[in-house]
Amino acid sequence: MSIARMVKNLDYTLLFTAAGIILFGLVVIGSATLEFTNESFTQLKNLNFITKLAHLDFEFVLKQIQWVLIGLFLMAVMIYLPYEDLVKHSRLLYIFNLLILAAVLIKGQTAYGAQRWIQLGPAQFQPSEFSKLLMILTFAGFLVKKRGNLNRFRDLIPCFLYVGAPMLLILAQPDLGTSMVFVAVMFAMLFFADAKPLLLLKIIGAGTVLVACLISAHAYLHDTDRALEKQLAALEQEKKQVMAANAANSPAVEEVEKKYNNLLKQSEKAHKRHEKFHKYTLKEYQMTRLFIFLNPQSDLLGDGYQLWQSLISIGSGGLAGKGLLGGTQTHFTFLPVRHTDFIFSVVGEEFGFLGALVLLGLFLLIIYRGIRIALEARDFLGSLLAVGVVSMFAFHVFVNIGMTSGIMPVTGIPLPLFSYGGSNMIMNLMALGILLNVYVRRRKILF
Amino acid sequence: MEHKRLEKKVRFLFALVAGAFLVLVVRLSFLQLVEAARYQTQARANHQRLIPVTPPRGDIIDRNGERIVGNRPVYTVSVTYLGLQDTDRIVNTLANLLAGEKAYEGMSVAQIKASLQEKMQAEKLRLYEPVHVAAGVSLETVARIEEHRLDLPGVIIDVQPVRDYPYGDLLAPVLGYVGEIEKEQLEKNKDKGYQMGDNFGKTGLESQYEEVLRGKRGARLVEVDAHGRPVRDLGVKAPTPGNNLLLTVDARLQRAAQDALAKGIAGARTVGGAKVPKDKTLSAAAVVLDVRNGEVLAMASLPSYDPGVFARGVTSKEYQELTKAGALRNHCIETTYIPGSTFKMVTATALLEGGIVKPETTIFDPGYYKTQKDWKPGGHGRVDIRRALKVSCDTFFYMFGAQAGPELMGKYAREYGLGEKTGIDLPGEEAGLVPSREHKKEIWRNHPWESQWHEYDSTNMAIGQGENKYTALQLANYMATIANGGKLYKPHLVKKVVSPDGKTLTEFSPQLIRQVNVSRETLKIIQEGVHQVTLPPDGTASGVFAGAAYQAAAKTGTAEVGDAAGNKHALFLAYAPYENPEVAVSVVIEYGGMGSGVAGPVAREILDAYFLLKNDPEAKSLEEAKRKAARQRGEQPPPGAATGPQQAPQRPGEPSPPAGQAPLRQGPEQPGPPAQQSERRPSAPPEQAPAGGSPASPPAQQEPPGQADQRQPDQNRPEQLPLQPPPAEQPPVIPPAPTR
Repeated sequence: MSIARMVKNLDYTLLFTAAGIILFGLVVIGSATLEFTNESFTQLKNLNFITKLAHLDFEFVLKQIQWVLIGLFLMAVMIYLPYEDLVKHSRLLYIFNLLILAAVLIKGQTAYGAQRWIQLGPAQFQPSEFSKLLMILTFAGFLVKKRGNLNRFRDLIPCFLYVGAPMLLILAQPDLGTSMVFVAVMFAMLFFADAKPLLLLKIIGAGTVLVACLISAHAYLHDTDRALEKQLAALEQEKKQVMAANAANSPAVEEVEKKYNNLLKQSEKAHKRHEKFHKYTLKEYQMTRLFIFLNPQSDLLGDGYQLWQSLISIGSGGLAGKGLLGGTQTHFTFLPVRHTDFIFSVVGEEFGFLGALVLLGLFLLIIYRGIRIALEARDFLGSLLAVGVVSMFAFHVFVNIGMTSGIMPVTGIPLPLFSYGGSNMIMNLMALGILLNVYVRRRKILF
Repeated sequence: MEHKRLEKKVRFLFALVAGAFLVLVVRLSFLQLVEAARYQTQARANHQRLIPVTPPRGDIIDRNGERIVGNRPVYTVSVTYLGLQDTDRIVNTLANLLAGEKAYEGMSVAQIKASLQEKMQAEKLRLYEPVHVAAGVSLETVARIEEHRLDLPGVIIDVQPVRDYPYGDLLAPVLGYVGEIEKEQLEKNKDKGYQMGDNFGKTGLESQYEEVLRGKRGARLVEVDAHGRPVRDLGVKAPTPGNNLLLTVDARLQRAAQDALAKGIAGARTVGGAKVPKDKTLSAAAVVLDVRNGEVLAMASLPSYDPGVFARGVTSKEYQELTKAGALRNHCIETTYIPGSTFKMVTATALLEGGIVKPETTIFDPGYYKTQKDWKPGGHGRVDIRRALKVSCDTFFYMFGAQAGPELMGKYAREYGLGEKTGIDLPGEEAGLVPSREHKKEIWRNHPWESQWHEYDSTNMAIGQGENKYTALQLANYMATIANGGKLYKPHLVKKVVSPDGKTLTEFSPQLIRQVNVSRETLKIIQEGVHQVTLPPDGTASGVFAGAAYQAAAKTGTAEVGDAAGNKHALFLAYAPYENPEVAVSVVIEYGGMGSGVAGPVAREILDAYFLLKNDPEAKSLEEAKRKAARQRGEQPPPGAATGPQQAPQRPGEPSPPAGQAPLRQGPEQPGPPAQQSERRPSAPPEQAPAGGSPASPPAQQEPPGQADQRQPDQNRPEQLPLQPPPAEQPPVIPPAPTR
């Protein structure tokens, strides 16, 4: 296929929508990273919109533009290479995927309590981002042969193992958010590969029940442990009083000592059980962070701080927002990591409900175009690829905005094409490249 | 077919995504439309801080408009409670930076840290308001904190008015001091709008007039970032300064009184022979009243201190030292002293009013009455009531005091305002004590003998010993009442309350407590008596007033403390001019030894200063007034010293120093023989002490003064009473009354 024809056949709606999101993102990044340090800054919000743009903080914006350019180049490459050829090497890509993920675990950089980056020349690079794309490519190749043979649970086991291997490596970082992306994308692709929907639903249901069981089991263990500890402390006070008031061998002292020792044993037992649970599942602090979104105000100055500030940012934006450079939460730095994972809070604060709606609309448009592409793909492989990319995209958007607005657990998931971050931006542009790849090679009948 | 299946699935996927997006939209509209106002309030609470602005307290101004207490701006350091993990680190850094500061002197970094944390803990509930941690921080520390600005988020440096005392220790114990309000005070004054960190008058006028002086807190709205660093001011509500107090005190006279008193204390050690226990600081008090209206012209209490130490933050060591020395007490009203012979005007009033003596009654004083000796061996010879006052004859008052009894003397003591609070506008005033049968019964509850009132109690009371105890202010007011013909005024320190823009808000007019129930004739006799005290040849204060340009009236007092060392308080009461009196002075010097020799010169110096300053209201200080007066008379001031203007030509043989100079006259310089020994009572021979007298009681003690030797009187049986009064040579002598 000639390049000219490819250019002519590109999906420009998709491209322009993506460009719109990226531009919007650049403006918000420039705003988010600007910290007000003296009074002169507070005058900025009185300027007109265009002049305001000139006052943004360009440090991260320029870096992001650099990532966008690299991403666009790689997108072009992704469009150019026929997707069949890409998938042909899926075994190699799969091994490459495992290798880079293993590399993270061996010599990765640590940030926010997890190993996610590896140094690559001057830049840091986040393999788990690219791993998502590689998983879509390789899993599509894996699934395309199994189409129609996915009616029983045991038919699905190889699929689970295939996706499970890289996923476990990511879970070990630990990066729960990305692992969940894997699960979501896998189910979407299985659904399109004609796995029995009822079976998938059962598995999802079983998973949900399992998670619910884990949570309630933890809640039970945790609460009994704490309750016993409290009782023990109270009894210790009582013991001290009784011992102070009575002689050493009096029946009262013996009785209270017996009671105390019994309770001590119980408490120790409960504590051990509780610890054992955490040993094999998530740690206590991970559990706390994961579920703090249910009640961020329970720990405003600790685990709930980030989310609470995010809610204040979004909520205080109101209908029309405080205007670019008008966000007090943003510019007085109350909101941490506001140019990456929590960038949507800045949108909510400065552009309000209307700005958020526009952004959501743009994302929905991309998803809509992606789904059209899945439908118009030349073959089943193309459809599968498109579905993989679209489901990944949709999941990211939903989880990210959900977490900033307090209806999803806070996991480190960026907003695609919008958050600051090289790996994420490049990977998403490459994913769009795959979509466009499928699109330019779409079914002939439509011409 | 296959395409259709795909289309169905695609539609399902899209519906799923759209549904998810709908959930997001619903959530966002809840946050941004329904709850927007709530989150906007939260955002404001985040980035706006209401910082209270301390109002300047009202000034305290003397009667001539001279500012005694004002305000000056100092740097303060406050911390906003951040609730972040690095609070501990910030407190640590701050503690290190503040380590050299006065307010934290002598504290280790760890102690400072604990103190900071305690202060911050106390305010944890008000999350977004800054907590005061230090005031009066030095410029160097401010500079160092600024250097560490980025490491110290939430640390705010501000400027705040604190008390300023341009005259240092002038009037300090009367003014009192200001400090941060304490928890109990906060509880008590809750509904008056006080907050932690507010200033609060702790003692003296600052406490008495707290409501007048405090002013109204202002506020500053500041925009801050997440680290509590102020980004800009959003507006200021200016504080309302407190109202000013215009005092009745003349700062120049006050200075003169304090200086004179300080010399008096020095004299107590050198001339008075005070035997001061090692850890004791001698106190002294002087009060100058305008006899015409009860205005306090000066009120000096020593030891004094510079209240500026409280403005910059007193260290616990300094505070302990001040407390131990008694510097924080106003000894003029909070300490009671045995009045000694200064009480004799009360006795004289009682005797005359009670008809026990007549103005012309005379006795012959052989120098003792029964067991009790006069201060002058050999006695004063023929003595009437005026002369009894003039030479401070003990025998006269022993003899008739015994007849008068405690009721009569007590009645007139109280009549003159002794033993009751004067009601001056200061907190913590003591009432003093007038001896009485009831009181004696109460303190000697378990002594069948001593709980009774005996003759010696009356004689002791008559000469101002025994349980008599009064404040210097009461004594001054009592002298003022004698001076002005029996008008007992309520002394007051504040003339006016003036608003910051100069409007008079309240004016305090003289308050007459009562016209004392003493006849004009009696007062006249007493006035004559106390006038004679200042007259040569043998008035006990004649040396004190030698060469004075005015006629004065006075009474000396040398009160036995009753301690083992035999210390005596020196007291001196005076008023002047004798005709048309204007001022009354009381001077008390603890362990001063001699009323006339130690306390007298202090009073003289104060009275001299009063008249000099009265003639020269423009003078900034006493020294200036002296210089001017000297120039007017065309005199060259002697090199190095200003000559007292009222200085009389020196009498031969009386090397009395210039009035403004070293005023402590040595005992022997006193003119005439009576002053030689002042009025010290000589040591009593042991004959007075009953057999088996308690060894604890010093032999010099003729009477049990104070509680110091409470054991002695037990054996003091009446049958040992003895020496009858000497045979009267003159008919009007009244036979001694039998002991009761």
